[in-house]
Amino acid sequence: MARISGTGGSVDLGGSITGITDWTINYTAETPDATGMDSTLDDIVRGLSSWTISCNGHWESSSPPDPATDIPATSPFAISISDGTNTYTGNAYMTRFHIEATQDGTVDFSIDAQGTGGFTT
Amino acid sequence: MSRFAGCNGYIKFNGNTFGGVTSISFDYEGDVPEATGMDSGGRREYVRGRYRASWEASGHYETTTGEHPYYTDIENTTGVDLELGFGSAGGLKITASGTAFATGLDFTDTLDGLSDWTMRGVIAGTAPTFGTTT
Repeated sequence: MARISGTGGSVDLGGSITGITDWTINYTAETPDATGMDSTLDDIVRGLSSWTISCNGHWESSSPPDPATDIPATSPFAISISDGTNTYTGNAYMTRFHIEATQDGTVDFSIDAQGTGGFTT
Repeated sequence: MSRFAGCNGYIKFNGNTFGGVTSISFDYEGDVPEATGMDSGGRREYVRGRYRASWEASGHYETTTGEHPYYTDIENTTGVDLELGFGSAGGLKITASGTAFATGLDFTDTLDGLSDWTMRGVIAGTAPTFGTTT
């Protein structure tokens, strides 16, 4: 068995971020309907692809996210997300930064970003 | 490792440091209008659009003067100061100078609970400042 523990993951959004607890990449491809009267089964063609990322973590003062720069940024930043074995890279805009503190928890953040253009593994 | 317990958070709104706070949150969101063209290689592309900041806090109603939200906070016609502190010294501090507005204020009271409040608002016109709690 050669599986991958989640503990080796990392997120770099133009700079490595510590305290990450989970991340997700959603890579989707659209499939416009190409069915015609000559089709006996629904048919599709490959359309546009797009991707988003999201991550959550504990706020860590030594290497936190930088929403002050990343939300207003007019150029996308390079992202690199890894599970310790596979690394996914591309360019993205931060679309949401959320930080929250509760009296019985920790100071935690979440980030959403919209990828733009290509995406590589 | 320098991570933070939530119990040391605080909110200062319009010169008042609220007591009994149980949660605070801040959202910073940016639009990304789509810029995909036929020359985009089949991949959707985006550019940066508008962005906005909002915040929310909840707490138990503290009767001490100046330690709870006031209904007049909703009626302010000009922005006020806001400071959100996430964590003890070294944590994240977000401030707005004269640009914070309260847009909603809920007061609740339950038979088996407390008199509580939730306040939410926006920071308008000028981007908030991100710093470090002391």
